[in-house]
Amino acid sequence: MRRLGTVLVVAVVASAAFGVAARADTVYGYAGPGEWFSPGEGHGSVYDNLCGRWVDNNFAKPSNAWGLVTFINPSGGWSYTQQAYGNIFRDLPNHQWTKKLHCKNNSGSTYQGGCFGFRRQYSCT
Amino acid sequence: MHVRERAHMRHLILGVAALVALVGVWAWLDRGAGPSVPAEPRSATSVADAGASGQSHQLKAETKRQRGIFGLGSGRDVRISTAETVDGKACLIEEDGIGEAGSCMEGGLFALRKVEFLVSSQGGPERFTELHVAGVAAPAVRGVSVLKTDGESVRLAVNEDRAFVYESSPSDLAARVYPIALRLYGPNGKLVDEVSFPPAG
Repeated sequence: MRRLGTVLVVAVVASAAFGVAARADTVYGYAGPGEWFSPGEGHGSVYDNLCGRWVDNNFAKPSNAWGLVTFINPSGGWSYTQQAYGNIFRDLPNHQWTKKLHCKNNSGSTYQGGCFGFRRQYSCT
Repeated sequence: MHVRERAHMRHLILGVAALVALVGVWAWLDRGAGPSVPAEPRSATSVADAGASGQSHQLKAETKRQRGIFGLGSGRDVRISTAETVDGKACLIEEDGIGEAGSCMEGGLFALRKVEFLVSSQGGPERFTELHVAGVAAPAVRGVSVLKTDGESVRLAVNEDRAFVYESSPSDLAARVYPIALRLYGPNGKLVDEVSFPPAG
C-alpha cells in the first residue's frame, strides 16, 4: 500500500511537470537590423492575438542614439514606453492583451538600428 | 488492510487529488501550449547582426548590482540596478513593479556620458499619465538636477551609489511639461555636464 501511494505521488508530480513546461518564445524582427531611422521615424509590428502574444520590445541602436519602444493597443494608446540611449529593452508583466510593438527615433539625429520582440505561442485550438 | 494503513492511504489519496486539482486549475488559467515542448531559452538567431546588433539582452547574473530603490507616487517602487550582458555590454536596469526595462551600452556605462538613464512613461502619445526618469551618474558626479520644458530646474536626491529618480507631477503632465535635460555637478558643486534628451514621445 505504501509503495502504491509513493507511485501515485510520483506519477502526479511527473504529470504536473509535463504540463507546465509547454511554452517557447520566438524572436521576430520588425525593423532592420541596419535600418536607417530618420528623426521622427518609427516602425511597428503586426498586432498579436490569442495564439501568440508579444512579451517584450527591443530597439538595438548605437550608444549615442536616442529612441523609444512602446506597445500600442488597437485604440492607438501607448503603454510601457521606454526611452533611452543604446539598446533598449522593455518586458511586460502581463502580456495577455492585444497590442503591437513600436520603435521610434524621437531624436534629431539619423542613425541605424533594428527592432524586435519575442512572441509567446499559445494553444488556441 | 490494517485500520491505520487504510486511514493513511485515504489521506494520501485526498492529498494527491487536491494537488491534481490545483495543477489542473492553474494549467487552465495559464492556457499554455497543448503539446508538451520543453521551454527553450530565448534566442535572437533570426535577427542578423549588422552594425546595431539585434541581440537579446542576456545578462550575466553575477554582475547585477542594485544601486537603489525609490518610491513613486503610485505606491510602486523603482529598483535600479546595473549589470553586464554575456556579450560585454554594460546595462542600466529598472524594475518598477510592472516589469523590467533597461538600456545597454557598448564600451561601458559612462563611456559617452557622465550619466545613464531611462525615461519611462504610461499613456501617450498625446498625453502621458505617468513619467519618471531613473538613472545612475558617473563616479565624478555628486549632484544631479532635472531641467524641464517650462525652464524650471529641480535638484534631485542622489544616493550613495549615485542613483536617482525624478517623477513628473500630475500637474506637469496635465500641462505637458516634461523633463528635457539632466545637469550634472561635481564635488565642488560646479556644473560639469548637461545631457539633453527629447521631451516624452
